[in-house]
Amino acid sequence: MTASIFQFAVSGILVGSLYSLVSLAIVLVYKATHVFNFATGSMIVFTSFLIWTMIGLGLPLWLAILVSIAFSYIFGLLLEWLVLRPLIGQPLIGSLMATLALTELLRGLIIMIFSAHEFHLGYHIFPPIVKKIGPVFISPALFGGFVLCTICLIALILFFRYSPKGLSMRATADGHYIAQSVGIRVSTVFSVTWGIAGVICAMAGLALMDRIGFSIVQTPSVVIFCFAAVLMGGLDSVPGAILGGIIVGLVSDLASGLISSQVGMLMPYIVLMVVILVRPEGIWGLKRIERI
Amino acid sequence: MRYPAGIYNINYAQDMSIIRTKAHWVIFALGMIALFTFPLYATSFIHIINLVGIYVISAVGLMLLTGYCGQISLGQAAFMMVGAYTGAWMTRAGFPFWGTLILSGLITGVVGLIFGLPAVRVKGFYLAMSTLAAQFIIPWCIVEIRPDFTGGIHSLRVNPMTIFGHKLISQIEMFYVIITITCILIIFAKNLVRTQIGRAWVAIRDNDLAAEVLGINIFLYKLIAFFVCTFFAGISGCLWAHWMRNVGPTHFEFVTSIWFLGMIILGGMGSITGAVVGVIVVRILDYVVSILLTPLVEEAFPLLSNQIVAGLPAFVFGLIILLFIIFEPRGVNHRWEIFKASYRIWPFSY
Repeated sequence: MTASIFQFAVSGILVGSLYSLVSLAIVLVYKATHVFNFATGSMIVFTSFLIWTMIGLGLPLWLAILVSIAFSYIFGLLLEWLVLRPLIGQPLIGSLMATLALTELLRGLIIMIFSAHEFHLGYHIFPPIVKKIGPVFISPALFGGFVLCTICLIALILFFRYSPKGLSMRATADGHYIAQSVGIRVSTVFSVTWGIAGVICAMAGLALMDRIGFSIVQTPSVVIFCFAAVLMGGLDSVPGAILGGIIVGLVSDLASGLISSQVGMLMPYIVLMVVILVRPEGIWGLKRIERI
Repeated sequence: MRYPAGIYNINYAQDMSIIRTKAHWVIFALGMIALFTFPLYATSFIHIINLVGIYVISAVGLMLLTGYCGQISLGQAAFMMVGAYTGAWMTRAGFPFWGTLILSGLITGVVGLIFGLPAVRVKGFYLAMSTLAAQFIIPWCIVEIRPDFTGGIHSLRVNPMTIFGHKLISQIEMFYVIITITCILIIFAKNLVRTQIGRAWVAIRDNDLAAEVLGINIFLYKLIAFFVCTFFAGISGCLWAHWMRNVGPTHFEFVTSIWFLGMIILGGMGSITGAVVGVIVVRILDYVVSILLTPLVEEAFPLLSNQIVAGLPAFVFGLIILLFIIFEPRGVNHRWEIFKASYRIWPFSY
């Protein structure tokens, strides 16, 4: 019993790191532009299919990945420029519906080009380095995804701490007016944020591709876990997103292992509901003092 | 609202009236006659009209919540599902159709209240997320908790609706029931938004802090909005179940909820007519894409035709909603109002 609890806890944390990464993409976009990106799931699948197409074209894996990362950066920029920029200053329903409509658009596009079937890569990207730690089995795909996500998270944290671009993004998140008055071009920061979100989605797509097959029907449901994680950590908190992702991964894996997999699938929604009812601002989110 | 030259509102009753002039009454009567004689000249479209009628009910409910009260619901399809399953089971248990209809509306309303409860503490985006949770929790409960009762992942057969001992099976018979109920509910909604409740909703939508200062109990009115919205969804779902004669867990998915929101945006936020127009436009689009474009696609891409036909409606819908949000956020209805204002004062310029 305890061994299986350990097993589920470890795999929960490993999966949770992926949720953390995707949650971070959502939080970054929300902090900078106050848009909640419902289309994250579709963006992840989009990049998975990009990598798949590149490999199909005969490119070696590393080149395919690099090219898709570049493409997803440009894709993020384009989304911001074409869809979200005209909606600045519109009411909430506008930006919310725009990302939802984007989800539909990308879903239709991917079904049209690739069909709704599930695709498999056919081989593993990550080498099977670690298989067993003590009594706990570790799947190489999960571990590879964990390592990839951790590297990305550390890179992002360093980026925000030390690079001028990252600093200007943090300043923009603090306040648009103040950022503008010290000479930061806020519109560029918006674009770069969406571009970085695109790159994060590419990384998540890569990590997911190896673990399970990818399809436009199934993969976006992963993002629901990240929605729960984002709300749990706080909509505008980067450490909150990382912690929330790991907690949600842990909770849902434990639930699916110890109770049943159906309950595990339901867990993110229950977490979502509890967070909204008990502590809407999340663990480290900014609490808005306002009576409604 | 602008009236033709020489017509002025001289009291509040006239100012609030839905049908103002004699010409309006004539147009209204002609429209009703045209609507109810529809089966005479459009027999082949009648099932589409039925579906439009059912969707209009749900969209009008969503319009009351989102367009008037300003609370976004991402779970309209799940609430329809509650109504559909309740309706299916009550007809099986032998309840009369009218009782089934109203009770499934009320039960769905109570379920809606549960998911509206976070409105005590949160608003806007967070409330939308709680309805998103509803969209996934409700189907899960229906499928997993009592699969012996609801059929689980299998779909459930529904008995035909029975009125005065007469079973309604053909589309034309159902048409009269569905359209009557749709008309009654549209009139109900139109009247509701010009009462005190409707004005309170608009106040909350426009500025909730100011509304509270005016003495409006925001929580109460938000809950009323949730109840009415899900009541409409329940009735719509119940009708859907009896129209389709079959309900299953895959019939009401998150995508359907998005489509409902898209319909009311496309029609025009903040007007009941907008909801009706939105549903009609989206259904026409869907018809054009799936029926008329399919042969063209099959001819152009014979190898990929299956997946293109499957993906095209979602693509076109997403694209059109995006274009509307960016270029005409006030929807089709706004254009119609501009047109109406211009022909009413014709041939004068003001």
